[in-house]
Amino acid sequence: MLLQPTTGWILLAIFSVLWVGLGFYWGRRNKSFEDHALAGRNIGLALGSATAVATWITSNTTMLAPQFALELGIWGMLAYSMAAFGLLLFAPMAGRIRTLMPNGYTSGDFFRLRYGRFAWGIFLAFTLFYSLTWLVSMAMAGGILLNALAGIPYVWGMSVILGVCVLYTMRGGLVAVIGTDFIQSLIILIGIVIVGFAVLQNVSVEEIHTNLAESKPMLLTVLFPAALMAIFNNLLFGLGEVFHNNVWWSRAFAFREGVAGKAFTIAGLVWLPIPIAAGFIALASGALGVGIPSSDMVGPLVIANVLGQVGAIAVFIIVFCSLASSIDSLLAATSDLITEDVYRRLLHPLARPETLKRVAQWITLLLGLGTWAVCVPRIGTLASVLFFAGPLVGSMIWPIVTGLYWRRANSTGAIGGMLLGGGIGLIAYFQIGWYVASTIGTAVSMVWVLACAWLSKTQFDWARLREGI
Amino acid sequence: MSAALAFATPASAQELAFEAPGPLTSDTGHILVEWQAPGSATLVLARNADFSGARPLYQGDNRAYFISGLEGGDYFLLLRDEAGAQSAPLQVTVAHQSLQRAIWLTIIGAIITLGIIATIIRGARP
Amino acid sequence: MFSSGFLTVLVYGALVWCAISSVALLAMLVRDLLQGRTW
Repeated sequence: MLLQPTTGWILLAIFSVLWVGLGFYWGRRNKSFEDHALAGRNIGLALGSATAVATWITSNTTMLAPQFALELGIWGMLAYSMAAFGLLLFAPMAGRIRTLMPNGYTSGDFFRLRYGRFAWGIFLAFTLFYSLTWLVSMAMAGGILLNALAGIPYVWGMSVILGVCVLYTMRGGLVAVIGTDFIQSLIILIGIVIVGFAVLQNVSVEEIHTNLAESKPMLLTVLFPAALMAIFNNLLFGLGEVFHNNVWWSRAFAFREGVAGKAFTIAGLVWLPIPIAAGFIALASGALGVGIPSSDMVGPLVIANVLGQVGAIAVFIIVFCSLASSIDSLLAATSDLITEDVYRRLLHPLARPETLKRVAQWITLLLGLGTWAVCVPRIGTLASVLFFAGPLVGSMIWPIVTGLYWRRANSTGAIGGMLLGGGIGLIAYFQIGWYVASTIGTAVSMVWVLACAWLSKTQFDWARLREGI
Repeated sequence: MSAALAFATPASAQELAFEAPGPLTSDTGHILVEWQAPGSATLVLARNADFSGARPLYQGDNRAYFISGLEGGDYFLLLRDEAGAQSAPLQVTVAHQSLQRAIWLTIIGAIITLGIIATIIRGARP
Repeated sequence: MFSSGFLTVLVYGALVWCAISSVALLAMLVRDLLQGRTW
């Protein structure tokens, strides 16, 4: 415990009131489902860039990056940075999505219209598995971190974080999510810079390097097998996550005309150095003489050692912001997906906009409650279930990319790609290891999708993506 | 008399010992070492079983220490407490994963990634 | 082995980059606000 519980509670209260207040204030302008889910389709460049950055910075970025650095060294940090390519490569795709589906709502709409209902069903199963495990892992991480940092009981900490996010997301929709994301992204960036320079005041890079060469030489090694495998596995996991998930597609639909491409590019560039800036402090632990009893706490321990109470408060705030900025996006995008794809498209095609908005709000609440119920028993291995999603999301990369650009990409390709890639990838996960699963899942999917496209006799008519909307 | 004193020793007194029952292995060069100790302890690492050239890793009240970045080979760990008592040594063997397989996977990953980038850049045929 | 010089460039580069990014995002927001193009 680095902070007194009282301090922790006070910080929690201040930021909770801030986010909920802003959410209610900004959410006043939402009337229809389109306002709630897509913020009026008019988000500008500044907010657009910031929301992409903030949403992609999860507690994994601020807490796992140091852990990656401590375990896998220089390549570990670089491998983590590769996830920025998800945003960078989605930039041109976002523009294409906007062109093809100017009135679209979700990535589910794309799968349904492009590949048909069966593919859409598989997509929904994969994306809901990923989204829900991500949501659960974030909520659990919140409870665990608040407990480790300030001694706040796990269930309380987890409940407050989830509760706050549910409240302002329910009330304010995507507008509230994007507005709070901007503030959160600045806090995170500034926090990382201050902490980083503070560490360097206490120990030079030269000293860190010498210490590593002496006691942790593998971390400086170029041919470090485990780290090498992580590079592209992480990159492909990141591509799969961004390319398929409604968190990112909803932003493509919500940004003003012409903004999406630039916003995602800027976001990718802003995100690129963050795992390094946040992660390198773990490499300093040896030189600083900080004993690490558990690799997942290396970040906070080093910061507290260097900055004391102030550092502990900084960690607390940075972590809270990175959690909130991702949980809110997940809640919003997943409830919008369920509202649009399941409630409207499957069950009530003629539902009115105001009804859909209310349904989305209720589903946000239900998602929050469901997540809470799953998190309460604190099943430790649950957080690692998220990594099963690696091959599943990896298998969706090629169906999506070819589906957006090639008329010859077809349903057989997409369905086979997802099932074979996901299946064989999962087998690889358990038989070989997590560090190959995304690579193998994507590879298998790619081969199948390309083969089906090459053998295809049909040409998809892009106009079909506009109909039914 | 000494027997009576022996029985008077509190039952919660802990011996200085590693938690692991036997030698540990790692294929990544990192490992979490846990132990029991009555108080403050020093964790020492050596490349030789006779502990020549040993260096201290940690000294304090924690009961766990995360070691990482170890190159392949055998390592020996030892705990010492303030009184000078020593624990039984713990052997850690690091055998890194296959470099050949890692390079193959990196190449495959790179090819897939370049393929994705090429497809996106090439764009749509009207 | 990654050199000390490489690590120095990596770390300082990343920190400075993050600092510039935060300034850039703020500047962009101010510009959007002044032009009424925030959202």
